[in-house]
Amino acid sequence: MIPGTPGYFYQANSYEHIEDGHTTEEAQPRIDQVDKRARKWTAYLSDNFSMPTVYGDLKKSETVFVSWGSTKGIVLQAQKLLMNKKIDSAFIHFNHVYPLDKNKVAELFKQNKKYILVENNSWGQFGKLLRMEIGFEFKEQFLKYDGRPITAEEIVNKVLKQ
Amino acid sequence: MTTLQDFSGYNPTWCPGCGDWGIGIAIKQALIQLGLNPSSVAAVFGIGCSGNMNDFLNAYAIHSLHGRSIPNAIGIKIANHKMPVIAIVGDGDCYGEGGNHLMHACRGNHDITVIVHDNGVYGLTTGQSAPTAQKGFKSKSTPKGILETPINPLTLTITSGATFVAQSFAGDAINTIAMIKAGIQHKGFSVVNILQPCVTFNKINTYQYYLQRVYKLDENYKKNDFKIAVQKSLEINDEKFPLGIIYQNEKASYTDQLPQLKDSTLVDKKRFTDFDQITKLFI
Repeated sequence: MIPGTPGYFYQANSYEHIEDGHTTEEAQPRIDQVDKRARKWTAYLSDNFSMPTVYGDLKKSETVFVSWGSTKGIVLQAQKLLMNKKIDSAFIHFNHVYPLDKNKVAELFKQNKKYILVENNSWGQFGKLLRMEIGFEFKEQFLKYDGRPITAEEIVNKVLKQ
Repeated sequence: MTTLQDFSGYNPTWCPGCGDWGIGIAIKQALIQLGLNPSSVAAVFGIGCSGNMNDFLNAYAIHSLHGRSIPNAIGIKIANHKMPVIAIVGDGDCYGEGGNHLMHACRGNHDITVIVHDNGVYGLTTGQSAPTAQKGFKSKSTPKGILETPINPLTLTITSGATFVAQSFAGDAINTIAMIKAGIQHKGFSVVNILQPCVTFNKINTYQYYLQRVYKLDENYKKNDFKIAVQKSLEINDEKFPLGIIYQNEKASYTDQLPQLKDSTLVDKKRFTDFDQITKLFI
């Protein structure tokens, strides 16, 4: 309801509150509210969550890059360069990073492949998140944290060295 | 006709004798006298004893984060510039946590009214020193006395560009009602600094303290003279507290200067929602 509608009023409360917006310090309304908010997660996963996009042939390729967000273009370019050298690769690219639909995402990581985590930070946070959520641990990772963007050639070299 | 009862939510939890009781009644009275009702006014609260009024005053309301009532109030105003918007805050909340927001809201001359419960302490958290506490004020957070000098809210807001700056005293309900009404009626950014005794945690700035040091501005006082107003506001530094409209001037408000809002309020316009058109470019 838009504020200003005659005959009504309500408060958006930053304290824990009951249905009409008034503050409460009781235990049961607190539990009800937490449960209500938790339902947003289920609703998000069923209505809004998008699976990562897979570029290349996941079945055919031995090398599988895993990354998220703005590294997309660089990894796609690296895939092209590898293709020129007759090396097939796949790329799992996440746009929706959290919360994750664990069961569906885990399916992508069950194959016997060389998964390489590509992230522009020193800790590989997204890799840690995946381990926490689906129990998958990366054996290979390309992390760059010198304050500069990743280049396609660096990724290609990483693959060729192995 | 709207009554006090219409504006009354839960019974306040303020301490007996707290200046907030007087301010709470004054706000409701001012709204009634302006012909408003709980559906026609928006109120945004900060955190503190003053902010707990969220549960005690009926209105379209937001109980915002600490110090963030002003940006929320500005948001409401820009969404519906025809709606009166008040921010109900304390000196800790508004001059401390939200000091930055206050300064820039003054510059923008946003047409909102900021009502400050100025008691010099963080009463809700049991009386730590707040930005208007006088130098040397002893509290739990400053057991040997506060080192900083107090903020002068009047000078700060006048020199930052506020177009209406008034001061009242919680023990003087009639003047407080008049100042709140004048602030809401003023087109542009208005601040009403209300000197408010905290009977539990501030044993210095008591009702007696203020009764001995407040005085009403003379009828001939030139409230539209910037330099005189600045000079008048400096009297606080010598523990003299003028009550009344210290400074008032006419200037275009923020929403007045937005050509997009000439024909209708933002909330009445059709919303652009097809964000897929834009996001396609990036994913």
